[in-house]
Amino acid sequence: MHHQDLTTGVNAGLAWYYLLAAMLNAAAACYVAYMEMVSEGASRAGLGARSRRLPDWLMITFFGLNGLASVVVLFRGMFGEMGFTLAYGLAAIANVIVAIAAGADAAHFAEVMDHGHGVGADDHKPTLDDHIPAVGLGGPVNRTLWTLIWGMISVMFQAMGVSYILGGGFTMPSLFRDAIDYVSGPTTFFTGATLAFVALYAYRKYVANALVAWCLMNATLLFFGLSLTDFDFRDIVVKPDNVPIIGLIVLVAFFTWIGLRRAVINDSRMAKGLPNLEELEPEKTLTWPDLVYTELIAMVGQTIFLTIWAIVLQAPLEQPASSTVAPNPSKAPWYFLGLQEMLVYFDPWMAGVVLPSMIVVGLMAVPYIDTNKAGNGYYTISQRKFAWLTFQYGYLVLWVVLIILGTFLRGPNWNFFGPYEYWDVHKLIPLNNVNLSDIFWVQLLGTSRPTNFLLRELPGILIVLGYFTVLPALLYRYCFRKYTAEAGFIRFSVLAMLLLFMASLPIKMVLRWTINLKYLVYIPEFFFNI
Amino acid sequence: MAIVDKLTDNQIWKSIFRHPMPRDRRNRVVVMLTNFFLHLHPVSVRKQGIALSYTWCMGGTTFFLFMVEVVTGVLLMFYYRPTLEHAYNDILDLRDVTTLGILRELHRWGAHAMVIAVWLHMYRVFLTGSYKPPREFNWVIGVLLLVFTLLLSFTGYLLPWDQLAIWAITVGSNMARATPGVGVEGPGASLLELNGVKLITSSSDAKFALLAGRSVGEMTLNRFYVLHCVAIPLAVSLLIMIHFWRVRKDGGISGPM
Repeated sequence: MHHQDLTTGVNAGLAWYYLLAAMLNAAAACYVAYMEMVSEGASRAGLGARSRRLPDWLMITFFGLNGLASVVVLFRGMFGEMGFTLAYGLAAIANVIVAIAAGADAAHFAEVMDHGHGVGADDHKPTLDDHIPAVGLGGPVNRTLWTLIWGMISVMFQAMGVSYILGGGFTMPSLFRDAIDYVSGPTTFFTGATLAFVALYAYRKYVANALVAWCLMNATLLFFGLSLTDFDFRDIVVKPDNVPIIGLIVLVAFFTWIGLRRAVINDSRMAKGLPNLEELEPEKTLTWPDLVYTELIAMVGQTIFLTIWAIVLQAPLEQPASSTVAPNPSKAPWYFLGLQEMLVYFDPWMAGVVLPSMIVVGLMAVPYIDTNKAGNGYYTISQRKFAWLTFQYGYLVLWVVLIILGTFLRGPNWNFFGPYEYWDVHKLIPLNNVNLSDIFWVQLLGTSRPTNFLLRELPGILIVLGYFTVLPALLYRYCFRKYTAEAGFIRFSVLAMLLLFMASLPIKMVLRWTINLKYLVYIPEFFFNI
Repeated sequence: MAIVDKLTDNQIWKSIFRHPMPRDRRNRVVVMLTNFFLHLHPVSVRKQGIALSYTWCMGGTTFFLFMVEVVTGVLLMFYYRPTLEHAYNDILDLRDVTTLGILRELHRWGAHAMVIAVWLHMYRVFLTGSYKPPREFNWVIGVLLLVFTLLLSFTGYLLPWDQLAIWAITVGSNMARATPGVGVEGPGASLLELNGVKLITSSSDAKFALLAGRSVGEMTLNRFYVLHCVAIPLAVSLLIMIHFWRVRKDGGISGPM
């Protein structure tokens, strides 16, 4: 089945999308060109005055043109069909002017520096014009170069936006789409997410750098924008109830980055014997006005945001309920889709009852099993690596990533579909999963399965028992001896059980992908399948 | 200032606000101590503790969204009847006919936003290690609030009574059928027998208790409605009070201990 990838509405939507992307990069160019880039905590004492200023005319031009565009949108009736295009043109010109002006000014500042005030000159002393990055985030950047880069990217995004509003937009090459669909699968998706998580941890010093993060964001914006040109991708992503998950992805990515960045800075500072960011300003401030006003502004901002969201996007309402016509796929509310995804690997009693209970109990147990006194009240990774890795893996990969998988990539019959794949109800996925008893008795020993179910399932029962008895002993012996000595045996037992339950999901996944294992223990007589 | 003075220099105003405008240090302290809504806060806070890049403002956002949900929810209750006959049509009316039908959008998107905000709040508290002593128990309360937030959202999901609603709840509540011991398809349930009579059947198991029936029906709608509008909000309100109280008692807002 083929649908049109680009319609007039889609073109218009993408044009505004790239307008925002261009605006973000123009703002980034302005930041690098004009703003003070002396990091938090760097002592300002002894630094020369700053000479870079955001020019008034630039702000007036930018907000003036955008204000004019808003007026055109409000009175679009007067402009006939050209209303939105005209408004778009005004806003686009504003973006381009900002991007070019920032680039030109940055070049100008560099010239001034080179003629007497520059790095090469003998009399150069650090000033507030210099980029002094936070401790642990690498050296200063070339402000001119990066202004030009963000300015160029801004103009490029804007050019793409203009091409869409004029109706001549381009789509993601189908070869590229097919390639992504081809490599997509639960295996690659989950393994990729795990590897990305390991990379996030291993290369956190680089990710914490704003330039790297901004590059990643631009790449994501471009990828998402191009993906939106695909009908099937769009069909799933813009479902009203799926929109919050896009918000979730953006927010989780942003806050993960903020937390990571502050942790990297703190870790570097503490390694050098400096106080961490949270201890830089130990003094107190009056709640009125400093906190009360912040709260008021936050409430006003959120009210506006929520109202606009409510006006723009109508809440979903499908056909009246019918207990005879089940939609395919039938999905739980989005925040439970990680649990629903677990149903692929576990029976409902595990995926729907035991593991969720373990998540809740485990979360409650966190303060009691984490006896590490360091890292109380400030961001750090190096002082609590185990806690950080465990929680982050559970939250980012086993919770958020599984929700994304369950929402966007699971279609009819809970089959996996690539991001650009049509949700075909008739897609057939061969199910050739086998139980451990089959593997053990039939394939390995070449006999038939015993009739007594206890004997039949003995290998699986032994493995499960061993998992919960031998592994804790090994964990104690090799990893948690010191912890147990400090925290006591009860805390260790709880921690070990929680870890094993958490690990059971990835383990079951790997077993499914490698040896097609369905159940380790299969006793349908008692609904006891693991 | 003359108008402000006239407005504030009379018995009515002074009976409501028991201090002059908080323009100087003394009155900025007094306002926090004498105003009911503000006394939730301490008089002064650690400067870094209220930095946005540190706190993310997500706990407060969750609370604000909860209040949005309460207000829009109460207003929605004026228009909505939880019966098979009316539920769906009342939602249709909210969409197409009712003035300010946008209430439903505010309520639904606010609910989604609240789920996200409460996750992010928990995320920040974990990353800053703010659950460590003396705040262990407040973290536990927080986990309960997280669970109740999800349950609020889950019970509300059924109320529009459309296909999306009943099948999402069907999928979700099918899990209860498999509860070990007390679900009809749960491991161990078949062992609960009394003189050969099974105690756990499809009309006496955990799923039945949740749905008030073998499948999602009118009694389920009623049950979820009461849970959604009365029972869970009451529990959440109580827990929020304890949560805030303990923030103050356990060393104030987050910061290095």
